[in-house]
Amino acid sequence: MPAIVSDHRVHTPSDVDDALRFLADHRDEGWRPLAGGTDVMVGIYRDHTGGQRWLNLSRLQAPLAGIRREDDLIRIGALATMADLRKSSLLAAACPLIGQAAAVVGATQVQNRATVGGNIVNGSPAGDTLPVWLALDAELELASTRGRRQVPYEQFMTGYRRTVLESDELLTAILFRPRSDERLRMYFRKVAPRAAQGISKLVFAAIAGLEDGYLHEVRLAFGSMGPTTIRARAAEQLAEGKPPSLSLVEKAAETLARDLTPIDDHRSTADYRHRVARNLVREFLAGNLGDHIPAAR
Amino acid sequence: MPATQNPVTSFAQTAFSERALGQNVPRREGAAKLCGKACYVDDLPRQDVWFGGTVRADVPHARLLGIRYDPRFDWSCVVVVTAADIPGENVVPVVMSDQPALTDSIIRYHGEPVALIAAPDVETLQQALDSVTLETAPLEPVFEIDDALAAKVLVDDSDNVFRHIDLRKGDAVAALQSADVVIEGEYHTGAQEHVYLEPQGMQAEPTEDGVIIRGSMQCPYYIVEGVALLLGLPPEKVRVIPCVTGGGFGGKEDFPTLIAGHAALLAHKAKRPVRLIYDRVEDLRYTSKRHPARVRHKTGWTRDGRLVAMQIELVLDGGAYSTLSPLVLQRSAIHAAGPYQCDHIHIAARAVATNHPPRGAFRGFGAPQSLFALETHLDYCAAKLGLDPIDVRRRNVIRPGGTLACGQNVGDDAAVGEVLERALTESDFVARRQAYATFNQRASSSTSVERFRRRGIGLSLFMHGTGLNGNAEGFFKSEVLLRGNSDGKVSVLTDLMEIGQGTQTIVAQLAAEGLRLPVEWVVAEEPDTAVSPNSGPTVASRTAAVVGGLLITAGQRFRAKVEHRSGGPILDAYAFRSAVAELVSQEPLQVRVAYRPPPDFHWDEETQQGDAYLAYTWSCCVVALEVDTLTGEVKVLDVTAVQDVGRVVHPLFATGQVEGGVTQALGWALMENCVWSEGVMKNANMTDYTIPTAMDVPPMRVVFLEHPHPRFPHGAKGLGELPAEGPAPAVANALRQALGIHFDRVPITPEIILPAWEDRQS
Repeated sequence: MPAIVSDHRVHTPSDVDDALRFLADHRDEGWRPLAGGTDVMVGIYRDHTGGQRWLNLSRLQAPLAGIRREDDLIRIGALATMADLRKSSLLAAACPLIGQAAAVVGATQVQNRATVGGNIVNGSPAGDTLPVWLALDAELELASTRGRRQVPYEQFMTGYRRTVLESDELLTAILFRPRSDERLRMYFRKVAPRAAQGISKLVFAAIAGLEDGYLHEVRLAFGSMGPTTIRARAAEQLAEGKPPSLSLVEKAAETLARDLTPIDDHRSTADYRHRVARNLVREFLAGNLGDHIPAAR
Repeated sequence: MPATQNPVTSFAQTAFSERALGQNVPRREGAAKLCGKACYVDDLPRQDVWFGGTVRADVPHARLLGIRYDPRFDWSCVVVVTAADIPGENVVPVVMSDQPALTDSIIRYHGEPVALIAAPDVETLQQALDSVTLETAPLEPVFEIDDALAAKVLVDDSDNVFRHIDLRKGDAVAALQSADVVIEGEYHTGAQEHVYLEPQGMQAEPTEDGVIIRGSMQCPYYIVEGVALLLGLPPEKVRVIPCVTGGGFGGKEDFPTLIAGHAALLAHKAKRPVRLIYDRVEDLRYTSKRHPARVRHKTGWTRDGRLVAMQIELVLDGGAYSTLSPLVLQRSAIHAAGPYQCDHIHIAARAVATNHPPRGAFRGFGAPQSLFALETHLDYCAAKLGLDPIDVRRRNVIRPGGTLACGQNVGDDAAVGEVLERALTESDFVARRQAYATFNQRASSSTSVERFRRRGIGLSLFMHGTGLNGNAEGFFKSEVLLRGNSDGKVSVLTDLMEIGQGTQTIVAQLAAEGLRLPVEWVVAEEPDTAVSPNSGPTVASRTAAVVGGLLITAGQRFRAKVEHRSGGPILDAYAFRSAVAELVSQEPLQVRVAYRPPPDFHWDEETQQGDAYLAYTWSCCVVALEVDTLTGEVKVLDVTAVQDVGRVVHPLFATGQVEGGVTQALGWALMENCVWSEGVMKNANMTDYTIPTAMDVPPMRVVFLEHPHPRFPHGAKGLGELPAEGPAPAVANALRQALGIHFDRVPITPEIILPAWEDRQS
C-alpha cells in the first residue's frame, strides 16, 4: 500500500527570517523542518503517519548551504549536502574525516539530497557524520526570532531522537576549529552490513594530538553505541597526557564499556558492538605506536 | 525426413549457415525494459479499477472469533470479502492443498489473510483497513523445529510433519559400524527472501461468465487452477494474461496463486476490476521465503578418506502451511548426499509445520540447504581425517555408471571429477591456498595493518537435477505449439514466463534451431492461457532444457511438415519462408509437441528410487576471501564457477545466470538475515534486510563445460538454480582456512565471526 501524503501540510518560506517568523507564529502546531527529506520520506512510507506538518527549507539553499572560513573557524551551512561535504576542498584541508563520513552516507543519490543539518536534527544515533562533530568539538548555531545561540554539538542530543532544538528554532550552521596539524592523528570508520548503502552497526571517529610522545586532546566518538552519539570519556581521560603504550592501549580499550551502552537489535548485537569498539580504539591508539604496536589479534 | 535425432548433423547439411543455438542473439526483452515501456501490473490503465488490500491476523496462532467493523467508517463505499463470500472451495491448491485463501477459524501465522477489502482509491482503502479489528483467542505458537517435532502444540491437524521421506541405499547403520572413523556434524541455514525487484501484484477483471487475471507470476496455469477452484468456475472461464514480471526466483511460483485468488474474489464481488499489489514491507513480511533447515550428518570413512556410509537427518521449517514443502523436501533429500559415490546411505527428511509465514519455492528448491551441510561437513571431515579436502572429493566423486543416493545410475553424465579439476586449474587453487597460508602466517607476526587481515580459499562440489522431481515432468505433459504466420514467420506459443532470464529470446532461439531458420523469423508470443498451451511452470531449471527440447523437436517437425507438403527438402531459408506463407494461405499450419518421458526413465515414488531427474548439472564453486579481524567483516576476493550444463544456449545469458546466482548465494551466506520475533520478520524493509549491492559483487570467472546430454535433443541441461548452491559452503570452507574455525551455519555474519575469532585467540 503506498503511503498517503495528501493530508500532509507543507509551508515553504522564501527566506530565513520568514521561516523563523513562521515557526514563532506556529510554535506548538508540530511543524518540523524538512531539508533533503531522505530519512523523513522513508519514515512516511514506513509508518503511514498522516497529517504531518512540514516547513520546507528548499528555498533557503542560498543563505544556508555555504561552506566557508569565518575568522579562525570553519562554518558549514546546515543545508550543505553530503555531496557538498564530500567535494569541499576547504573541509578536506580542515578535517578529512568530514568528507570520509559524508561519502559513506546512503547512496550517491541520497548524498545529493541529504543535508548535514538534517543528519544532526534528525537525532538518530546512527547518523554517519555525527561522531565526527563530536570528535571535532563542533558547535551548532540555532536561530529563532528570539536571536541566535550556540550549543556544543555534544550537548545537542539529549536522548534517542531527542535534541535541545526548540520548536521555534532552526539549526543554521555547524562551526568548528580546523585541524590540519600534522601531529594530529585522525580516524574514521563506519561498520555496516555491506560494502555500501548500509545502516551503521557502529560509527567511530577519533582525533588525538601526539606531542613530544604524549597524547593530548584525545577524542573517541561513537555512533550507534547508545541512545545518542557518545564520547568514550573514561578512555579519553586515561589516555590524556600519556605516552601511547601497549598497556595503555589495552587499558583504554577495556575502559570503553563505562561509557558505551549499545543494545541488541535487529541490526547487530551489543556484544559485537563492544568488541568492534574495543578493536577500533586499539587500532587507532596503537596506530601511533609504530613498531611497538601489539601483536595481532 | 530432414528432422533427425541429431540437430547438429542435420543442421550441417543445410545451406543456411547461421546457427541459433549457442549464439548471443540480441535480447528481445531488453529494449522495452530499458525504455520504461514494459508494462508491469501496476502500469495497467487505472480507469475503473478499484484497489484491493488484505486484512491480516496480528497474532501468530489463535482461534478467530470474529471480525469487527468500526461503525464510524462508511462501509457502503467499499467491498469486503471474507471466507463466507467464497463461491467455490476455500483453498490454495498446491500439493496438499491445506491452505485456505482466507481463514475463518484458526489463524496459523502472523499476517494470515482473514478478509479482503476493495475501494475506489487507496486512501479510502487504507481507512477501511484501519477500521477492521479481529477478535481472537490466542493459542500457543510454535517457532522452533524441535518444538514442532515434539508436537505438544499442533500447527497442522496431525503431527506437525508435512512430509517424511526416507531415502535408502544399502545399509547405512551396519556400514557405520564397519567404518574406520565416524564423524558427526550439525548444520543450520536461515530463511532467505527473494527480493524480486517487483513485489507481488495481481489484477482481476470480471467478464460475463468468468474472470481475467493479469499480474506478476511464474506459472500462469497454476493460477487458472487456483482461481477456478476458488470461484467455482470451469478452468476455461479463467483467462490468465501475465504482465511483464519483475523477477521471481521461485517467489512467484506458488505464492501468486494466493494473491490472484484474492484479487479474483474482490473483483467477483465488486463486479469491477480490482488491483491488489503488495508494497515492499507487506511483501517481505508475508510472502514465502527459503526454508530454514537443520541438517545432521553422521559419516563413516575409511582412514584414507573413502566414504563408507552417510546418515543424514534433514528437517525443513515449512511454516504454517505446506505449500510446496513436500517437493522442496524431496529435492533437498535427493541432493543431500551430493555428487558422491557411497554404497550405504540413509537420508531421513522431514518438513515440519511452525507458526511462521508459509515457506515456498526459492532458487535451488531445498538443495542449497542440504548441499551447504554436506560440502561444509566434507571439509570438516577432511580436517578431522588429516586429509586434503580436494583429495577426499577426488576419491569419492561419482564416475560414469555410478549411482546416486536415490539409486539413479548417472550413465555417462558424470563430469563431476572433470568439473572439479577444471575449477582447481581455473582458480589456481592449490597455489593460492599455499600463498594464503603464508600470508596468514606473516600477518600473525606483522606489525603493519596486515596484521588484521586473514585470507582463505575454499570450494564446494555439487549438482542440480534438471526439471521437476521424479514423475512430475510426465504428469505435466508440457506442450509447445508452433504456428505458421501469413508472412512466412513462425510463431512459438508457450506459457513460459520471462522473469529476467531472457525466456522470450531463448524460446525463439531454440525453435529457430529446430526449424533451421534465422532467429529473427521466429516470433515468441506472449503467454495468454486463452491461446498458449500449458508448457508447465517456469521453474526447476526446466525452461531451456525440458521445454527447450520440445521446441527443438517442434521446430524439426514443423520443417518436416512444410517440406512434406511442399514436395521435398527446402535448403534455402528464404524458399522455406515462402513455402510457409504459401501453405498458411491455404489452411492453418501448426505443430504441437507434448512431453513424454524417455522410455528408459523410471522413478518409483513409493520407494523414492530411480530416476529422480532427467539429468544433472555438475558444478564446482571456488571462493577466495579476506577477513578483517577487527570487525569480522568478510570481503569476497573472487569466485570461480565451473559447470557442466550439457549445452549452452545463450552464453551471455548463461553467464548472467551464474553471476546472479552466485551473488544471491553470497548474500545468503554472509549477510541476508531474516530476523524473526514471535513469527514476525523484524527487519522487513530494504534498509535492514541487506542484500548485496554492486559494491559487494566480487570478480567472477565463469566457465562452462559442454557435454551434450542424450535425453535432450539439443543436449542442454538445466542451469538457473545450480549457481545458487555452491557459494555458501565454499565461503564456510574458505573461512576455515582464513581463521581456522568451523562455521556450521549461514548466514555467517560478522556477529558470529568476530566472537569466534577472538575466543580462539584468547
